[in-house]
Amino acid sequence: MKNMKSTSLKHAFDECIGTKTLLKHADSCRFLNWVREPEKRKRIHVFPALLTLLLIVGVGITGLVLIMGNTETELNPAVDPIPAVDPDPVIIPTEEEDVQPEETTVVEEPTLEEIFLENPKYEALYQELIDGFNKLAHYRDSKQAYAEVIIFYLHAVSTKNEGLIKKYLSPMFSSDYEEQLWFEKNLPFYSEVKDYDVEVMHISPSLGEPVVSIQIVYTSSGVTESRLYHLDLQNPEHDQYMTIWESHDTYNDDDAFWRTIRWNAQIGLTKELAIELFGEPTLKGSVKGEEVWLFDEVSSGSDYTPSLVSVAADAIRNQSVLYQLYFTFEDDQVTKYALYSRLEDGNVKEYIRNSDHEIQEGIYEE
Amino acid sequence: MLENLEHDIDIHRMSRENAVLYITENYGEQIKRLIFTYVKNYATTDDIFQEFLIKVYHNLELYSGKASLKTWLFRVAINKCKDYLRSPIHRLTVFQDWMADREAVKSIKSEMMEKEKQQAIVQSILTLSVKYREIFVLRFYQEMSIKQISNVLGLSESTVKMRIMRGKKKLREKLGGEYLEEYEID
Repeated sequence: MKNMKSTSLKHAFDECIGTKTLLKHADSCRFLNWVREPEKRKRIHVFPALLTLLLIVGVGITGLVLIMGNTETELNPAVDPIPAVDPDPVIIPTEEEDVQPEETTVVEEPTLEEIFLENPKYEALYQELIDGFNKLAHYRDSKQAYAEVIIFYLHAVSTKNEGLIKKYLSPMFSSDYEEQLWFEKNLPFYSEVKDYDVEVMHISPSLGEPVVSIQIVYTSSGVTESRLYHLDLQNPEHDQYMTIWESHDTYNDDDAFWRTIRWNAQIGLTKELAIELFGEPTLKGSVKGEEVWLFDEVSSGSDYTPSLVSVAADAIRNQSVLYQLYFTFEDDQVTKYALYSRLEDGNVKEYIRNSDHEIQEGIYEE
Repeated sequence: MLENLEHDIDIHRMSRENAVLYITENYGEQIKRLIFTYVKNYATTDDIFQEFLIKVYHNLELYSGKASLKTWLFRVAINKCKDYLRSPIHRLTVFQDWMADREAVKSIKSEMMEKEKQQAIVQSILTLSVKYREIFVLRFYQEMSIKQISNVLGLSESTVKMRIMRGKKKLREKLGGEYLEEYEID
């Protein structure tokens, strides 16, 4: 695809926001004015008696205001030389805050000790998490709470306790509707996996960012699936996301495009979620009694004739079409999908997967 | 140029006040513009910028130097913006923003010159939901790499790429396929 010159957009952004400097408005920033005027700050040391007097008067006025029921306060650096602390404390929801009213009946919570006893692996993971947080100087105080939340969450996943999954996950998920949708719609898909064997592959608390990545492998009836969780524990309400892929998929790291498509094409997707992820289908109809939807991406300026019964191999080879993805639906869920994309050598790669997790992969032959 | 500044200055060797002044002088304009892309209101931008400076003032010691200063500052600013967007005060103005967005999209349908087309793309980007908008802004306005964006937003690179892909689809819906062909964004 062609790259647009970002410089031209940069100017367009500037013009849209305003070509004049915005920083001049900082002159009206009371905090910046306070920072810029050392005399004002020094005056506090020069006139301690005056300061004490001001403080007494201030306390008196504040008390009076509180008594009158007006608790609203405003930062005024000129009076209060040290601006109000804005600590933005990390909040791990308490038991009371955390439980949604409708979920309280579902939750049956084990203790940490019980979880450790049941699955000693979690104890090792718990320690590993704490060690990880130890590397992050400013999260040391909360490391225990963070590690506990993660362990409780993993236990909930491994026992398929949806009430507890929601309890621990929802505070960590964005309030953004789409992310909620993603999780909600995937719950039935998760519950299809049987005989969980949760194994933590790696935990990577980022040194620079308050994000923990945990890759978990599930073994279900001989098929291994892997999920990578990114939990932003510093800001539980900010963007949280979960990416899913199958660990036995092999992919080239450079081929992010192929990977992205593969991550989102999953058995069990609903029609609604399929549209959410891939846009409106190019074609949909019935093939041999089965409902089939075709999704694709066509190169800019190219055209081809899509079909539900034949793969546009030539169009894929000459890169007019970047991929074709055929979903077969049964009762609003994907039961089979087939993905076609171009390989570097010009051949068309075929990847077919059915609801029994059987995979057919290779070079597409007409 | 900004990246180089970070190597020249040790922010922890300055007084808090000087550090704030240094940050304002070197990153202030860039951060104010970033804030504007979230809140789309000059007065609110001023307020959030002040909150951002206070937050930086009190939390300078939390900047470990492992991430770049710019990345850390952008992250603090973005978190402040998102706090605001979740606040009840903002929700009261959402309806007005929505009306403004509709007007912006409507204008795209008309005949436009080259420069106006670029403006239309930017306006459409600014009407996207925050999760897509922030990525386009960081990529095409702040000219960050995918890796830098993933660091600032705390997202994986694959998620950033996925959002660009989904954001492109949304932009196409707003602008029309033919329109975007000329201005392919990838």
